Amino acid sequence: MLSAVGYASVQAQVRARRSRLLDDDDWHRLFDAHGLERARDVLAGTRYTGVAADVTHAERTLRRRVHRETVSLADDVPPRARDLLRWHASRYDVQDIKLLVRALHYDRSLEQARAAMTVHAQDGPDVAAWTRARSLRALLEALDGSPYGRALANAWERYQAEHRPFYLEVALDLAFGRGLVKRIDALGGGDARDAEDLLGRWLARTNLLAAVRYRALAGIRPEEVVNFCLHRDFGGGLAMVQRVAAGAPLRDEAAALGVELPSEASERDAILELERRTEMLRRDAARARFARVPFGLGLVLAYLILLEAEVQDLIRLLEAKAQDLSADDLRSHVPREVT
Amino acid sequence: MWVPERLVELSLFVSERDLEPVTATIMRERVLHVGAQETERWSPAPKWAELAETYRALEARLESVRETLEVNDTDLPSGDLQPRPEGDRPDVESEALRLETRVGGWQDERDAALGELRDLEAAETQLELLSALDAPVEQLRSLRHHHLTIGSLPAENVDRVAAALFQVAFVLIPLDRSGDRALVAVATAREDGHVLDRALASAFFEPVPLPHQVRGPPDEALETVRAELREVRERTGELAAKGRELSDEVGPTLRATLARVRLDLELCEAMRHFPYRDDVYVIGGWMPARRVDELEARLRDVAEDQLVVEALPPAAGRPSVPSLVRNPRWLKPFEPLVSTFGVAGYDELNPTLVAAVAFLFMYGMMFGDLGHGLLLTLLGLALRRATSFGTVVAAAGVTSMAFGALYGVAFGAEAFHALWLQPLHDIFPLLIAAVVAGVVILNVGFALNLVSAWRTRDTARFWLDKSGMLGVALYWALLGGGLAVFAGRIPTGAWLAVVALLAVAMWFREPLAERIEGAKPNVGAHAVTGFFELFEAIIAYLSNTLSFVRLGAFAVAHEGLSQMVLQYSGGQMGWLVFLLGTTLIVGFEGLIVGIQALRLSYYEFFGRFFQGRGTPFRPLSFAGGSDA
Repeated sequence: MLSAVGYASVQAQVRARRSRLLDDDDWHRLFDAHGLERARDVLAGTRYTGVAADVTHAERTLRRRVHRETVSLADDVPPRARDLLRWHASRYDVQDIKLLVRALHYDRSLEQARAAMTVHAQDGPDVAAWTRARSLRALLEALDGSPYGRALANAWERYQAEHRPFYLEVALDLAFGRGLVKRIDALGGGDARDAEDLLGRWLARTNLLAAVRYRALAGIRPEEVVNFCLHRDFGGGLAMVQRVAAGAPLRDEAAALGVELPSEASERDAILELERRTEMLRRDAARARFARVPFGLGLVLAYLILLEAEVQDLIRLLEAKAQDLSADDLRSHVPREVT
Repeated sequence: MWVPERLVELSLFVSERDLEPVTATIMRERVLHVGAQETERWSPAPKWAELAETYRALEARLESVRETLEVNDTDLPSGDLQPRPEGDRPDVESEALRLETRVGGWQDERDAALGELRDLEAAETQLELLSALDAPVEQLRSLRHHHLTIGSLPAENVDRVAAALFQVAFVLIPLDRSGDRALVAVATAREDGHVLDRALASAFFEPVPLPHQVRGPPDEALETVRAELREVRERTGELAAKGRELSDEVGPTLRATLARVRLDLELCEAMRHFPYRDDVYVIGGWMPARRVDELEARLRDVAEDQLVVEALPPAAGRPSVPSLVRNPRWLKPFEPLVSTFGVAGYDELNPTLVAAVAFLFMYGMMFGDLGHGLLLTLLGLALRRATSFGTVVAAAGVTSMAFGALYGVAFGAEAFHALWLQPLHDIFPLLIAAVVAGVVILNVGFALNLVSAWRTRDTARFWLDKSGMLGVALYWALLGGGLAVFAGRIPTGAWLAVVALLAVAMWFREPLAERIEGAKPNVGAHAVTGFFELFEAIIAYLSNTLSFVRLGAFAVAHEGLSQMVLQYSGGQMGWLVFLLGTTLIVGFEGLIVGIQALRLSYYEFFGRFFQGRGTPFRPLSFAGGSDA
C-alpha cells in the first residue's frame, strides 16, 4: 500500500507517456518509408515532431529525451528510488565524459565532442563546468567532488604513467556499475525485486560481456580482468568474473545467466549474440512488468527501458535510412519485433 | 488565457557595430525565443565562437582563483554592467593575469607544503608499522626472495585487489585509511611480482616509497620524520592565515571581474549563432506581438546605425512556432495538470482552465464528503507554503465539501439532509448522473476540438475528425438515437439508417479528408484501415462514456468505506480507529481518486481535442534574469 502511495503521481504519468510510445503501425510505416525524408514525414506525425524537424541532431535529441524523462520521473518517486533513477540517468554523463576524455586525449575537436554529448552546458553550473573543460586536468578539477570525478582521480596516476585513456574509461564504467549495485541494494520490498529483475539481470549479463571482451578481444591478463569488472552484479558476480578471467567458456557462463548461445558459434560471434540477447531480454522483462502490479519502481523502469529501446531503434533506423538501406535490411539491423 | 499568446516572427538586421548592445538589450528584455533562420549564404561569424572560448577559459581561470581563495560567488555585482565582449577583453585578460600572479606565488608555496605534509604523514604511518623491526629501513628496499610494495589505493579497491590475486599466494596488510584512500603493504614471492604489480596497477594503486633521506632503524627514522612534520604543519598554518588576508584583499575585484566575464560569455554564446553577411547580422525568432513596438524603441535607443526590424505573423501550419502560455496567477498551480501531458502547440487551445474545472469537478464527485473535504482543504492550505500543489489539494477539498453538502455526508455519516442524492441509497441514479457528467465532459472536449480546428482553418479536422462534426454526429446518433429508440420515440429502422450513413462516412473519412486537402484520394489504401478505425471509434465513444461511471462508483465506495470506519469507532479505542481510518481515507483514497480524475482527464477528455506537442517559449536571457 505504501508503495502505491509513493508512486501514485508517477503511475499516472507513466501510463500517459507509455500510451505515446510508437505503436506497430508507426514502426511499419517507418520501416517502409523510402529514404530519410519519408521517415521524417512519418515521425512528424508522432511525439517525435521535434526530432523530425532536425534530423541532423536526431541522435543527441533522442538521447536527451530519455535523459530528461528519467530525471523528470525521478522527481516524483520515493527517495531511494529517486536516487536509483538519477544514478541510472547518469550513464549519459559517463558517455559524455568519455567523449570529452577521448577528444582531449587525442586532441580532437572539442566542439564536435560537445555537439555529440547528451547533456548541455545549460543544464546547470556543475555540468557547464565539466562540459567546457579544455584539458583533462581541468576536466578532473571540474568533476572534483562528484562520484565520477573521484573515479577519474583514482585512475589519473595510471593514465599519466601509461598515457592510455582506457584506464579513465574503465574507472568511469566501474563507478557507474558499482553505484548502480549500491542503489539497488538500498531498495527494499517490491522495488528491490523490480530493480533486480529489470536492472540487476541486465547488469550481470553486461558484466559477463565486459569480462569476456577484456579476455578475448583485448587480451587483458586475468588479474586485470578481475579488477576491471564488477564483483557484485546480481548474477555470477566475482566467481563468474574469476572463471571467465581464467578461461572458462562463454557459453557455460551465459547459460548460467539464462542465455543459451549456439554451440557452433565462434567466441566473437557468441559475444555478438550475447549482446543482442541481452538487449532483447531486457525489453521482454520491461514488457512483462506492465502485466503485473501497476505501482512501484518497476513500472517506471519498464517504461524507461521501452523508451530507451525505442530511441535506440529510431537512431539506428534514421542512420540506415540516411544510407538508403532497404526495409528488409533495416529489419535485420533493428532489434524490434513488430507484429 | 484560452490560447497561447500571439507571436510574430521577428527578424532584426543589425550592423556589426550594434550587435553587442542590441543583443544585450534583447537578453535583458527576455522577450525573444530564438529560432533557426532560413537565410541562404548567411552563416554565423566564427569570431564570436572563438571569443566565447576565450571567455570560457578566462572564467575557468578566475574560478580557479576564486576556489583557491574560497571567495563567495553568490550575488555577483552584475546589475549595472554593460557587457561588451570585444571591448572588455583586454581589461579582463590583464585583470585575470594580475589576480593569478598575485595569488600564484602563495598557491605554489601552499601546494608544495601540503604535498610535503602528505608524504611525511604516509612515511610516519609506514615507520610506525615497521617500528618493531630491528633492521635498517634501507634494507627493506632490496629484499631477495620477496616482492614487497607499500602504497595507497582507493579504499573500495582493497578487497578487489585480494580478489584479483586469485591465482597467486600473497599477503595484503591494510595500514591506514585517509579519506577515500587506503595505505596498504602487499607482498608475494619474487617470481609472482609481475602479477602483483599488474593487479595493483589495475586497481589504481600508487606506490608510496619511503623518502630517500629516511635511513637507519625505524624508531630513529620516525623521530626525524615527526620533527619535520611539526615544522611543515606550522608552515601550512601560517600559509592558511596568509590566504585569508589575500582573500580579503583581492575578493571584491575578483567578484567584479568574474561577473563581467560571465555576462560577456553569455552574450558571446548568444551572438555566435546569429547568421552574418557583409557586416550585417540577422537575429531571428519569435516574440509576443504586443511587445514589438516597445522592444523596437529600446533597440533604436541603443543602436547607432540603422536597424531593420521585420515582424511577420507566423505562416499557417508552421510547426516550429513556440507557444507562450500565460495563465492568471490563481490558475498557475493547475498548470502541471496539463504540462504533465504536454505543451499546448501554438495553434492549440490552452486547456488549463477546463482541465482544472474538470479535474476538480470529478474529484469532488468521487470524494464528496463535507468532513473529509474540510481536512483535505486544511492539508492543502498547510502545503501551500511549501508547494503550489497545495492549492490544487485545497481546491479539491473545497469541491469535495460542496459534493459532501449535496450528498448530505460528513465523515461518512449521513449527518444532514442531502441537497441532491445520497450515494448509498441512490446508487443507480448516481451512476446515471456520473455517465451524464461524462457525456457533458466529452462534449466539452468535442466542442473544444471544433473551436481549435475552426481557429486553425483545419477544414478536414473540423468536419471529418473522430472528434469533429462527423464524430459528434455519430456519437449522438449512437447515444441519443439509441435512447430515443429505447423510449420508442423514433423507429429502429430510421435510427439504423442514420447510424449506417454516418458510419460509412467515418469509414471513408481519410479519402474524404484527402479530397478536402486537394490531394488525390486513395480509397483502396484506406478501405481496410478505415474499417478498423471505424470500429475503434465506435468502441471508444462507448467506452469513454461508460468510463465515467467510476465518478459515481467511487462516491459510493467512499461513503461505504467511511461508514465502516465509523462503525468500528465505538468503544474505548474508538478514537484511534477513527483517526487511523480517516487518515487512510484522506491520504490513500484521496490519492487514488486523484489518479482516477487525472486518468479520466488524460484518456477520455484531453484525447478529444489536445495534442500537447508544442514547444515551450524560452526567451533569450542572461542567467538569473527575471521575466519581463
